Amino acid sequence: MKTDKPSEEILNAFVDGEFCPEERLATLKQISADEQLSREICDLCQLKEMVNLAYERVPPPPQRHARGRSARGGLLGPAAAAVVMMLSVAGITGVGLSLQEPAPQTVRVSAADLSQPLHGTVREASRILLHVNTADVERISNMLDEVELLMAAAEQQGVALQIQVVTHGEGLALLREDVSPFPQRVSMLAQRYPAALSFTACLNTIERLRREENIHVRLLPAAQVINSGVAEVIRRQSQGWAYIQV
Amino acid sequence: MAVINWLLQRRLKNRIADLRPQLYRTAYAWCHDPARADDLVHEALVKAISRLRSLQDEDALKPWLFRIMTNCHRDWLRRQKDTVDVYEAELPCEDCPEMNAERAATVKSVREAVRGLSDDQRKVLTLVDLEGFSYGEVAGILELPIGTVMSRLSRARQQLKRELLRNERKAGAATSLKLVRNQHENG
Repeated sequence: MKTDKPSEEILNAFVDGEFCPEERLATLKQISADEQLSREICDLCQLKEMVNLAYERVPPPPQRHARGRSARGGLLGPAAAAVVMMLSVAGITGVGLSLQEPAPQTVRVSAADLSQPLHGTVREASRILLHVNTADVERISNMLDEVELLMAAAEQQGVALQIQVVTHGEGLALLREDVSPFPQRVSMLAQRYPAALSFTACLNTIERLRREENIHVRLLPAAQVINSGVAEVIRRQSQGWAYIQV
Repeated sequence: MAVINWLLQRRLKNRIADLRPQLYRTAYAWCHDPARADDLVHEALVKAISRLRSLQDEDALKPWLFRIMTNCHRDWLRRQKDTVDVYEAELPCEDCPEMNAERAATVKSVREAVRGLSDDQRKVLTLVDLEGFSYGEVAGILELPIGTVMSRLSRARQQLKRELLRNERKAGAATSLKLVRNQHENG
């Protein structure tokens, strides 16, 4: 049945997982009944593996500062740095800064530059709700970094900033005394910004843990209890708070 | 909302930075030159950051970055065309000393074979095999019809098959299986 033989493209698509389960099954049946087809599929799989193997480990890039920024094609050199600088400023100051504007010479690339204004022309309190429903340590760590940076920048510039961290579900771990990955950071931040920053824990989650997993949650001293994390998210959004899921 | 913008942009920049090793690996597979690959990634990242606001869908960040890098590479090839034959130089295997001889030989021959593909074929092959992009995503990245992606991939693998598997078969049927196992053992 040579006329029924799938094309090379179709065999490749099969090997690359482009088919839906039904198509896959039909092709598999066809392959199993044809020795030559089986070998072709095997070859394609092998080629895929070989290409992956060949680039599994590649030579590391040379140290950028160790080699001169030549003028050959593809290099932006100082222009690139200028663009990055401009963008850092654009990122911090928000909308309204044209990319065509010249970059101030003194601006540093680091986003942690607290001298950059946190707002444009409108001087109003920024209210942010950070919704934590994950126990992913890296993401939580990043969030705490952001909170720390923002609070420091706001304090330095006298900008009114209010942040509420709402934890529920798996995210409650952040505020649990027994499992919190960052108990000291939470306490330190809460103590440092008592009025502007709050860490809140969902009572529904606490009760569910007690009911379903027999865990009697003890919270960090900095944690405040709210009835429902989800309801708090909705309530704050209706009050105009910005919502960011961590 | 400036503060929110700042947060979102920082988050996106972090995600972009996380993708740098993947971009570099693919760039290396395109250039086979660490310095050039690093320059290409650098240029693509600078452009990406300058266009962050044009990114409509955060979930499409990875294909979006690869599309930018593809465009940078295309421009670079155009600029280099009249000056340097990028495929003339001897292909080094700078990481080979760490590998056993058999694996190093395979790595070298596969890289040679990939380098021997046309640029169009190499891009499709590496985006599918190294980055695991779907055909649809590759079509978007390279701005090609999906049928063209499929035919280029097919031709690329036919050429690799001719160059790589013929030698494997001469060496014996068991060799190819061993190669695959080696990768998993070392992975």
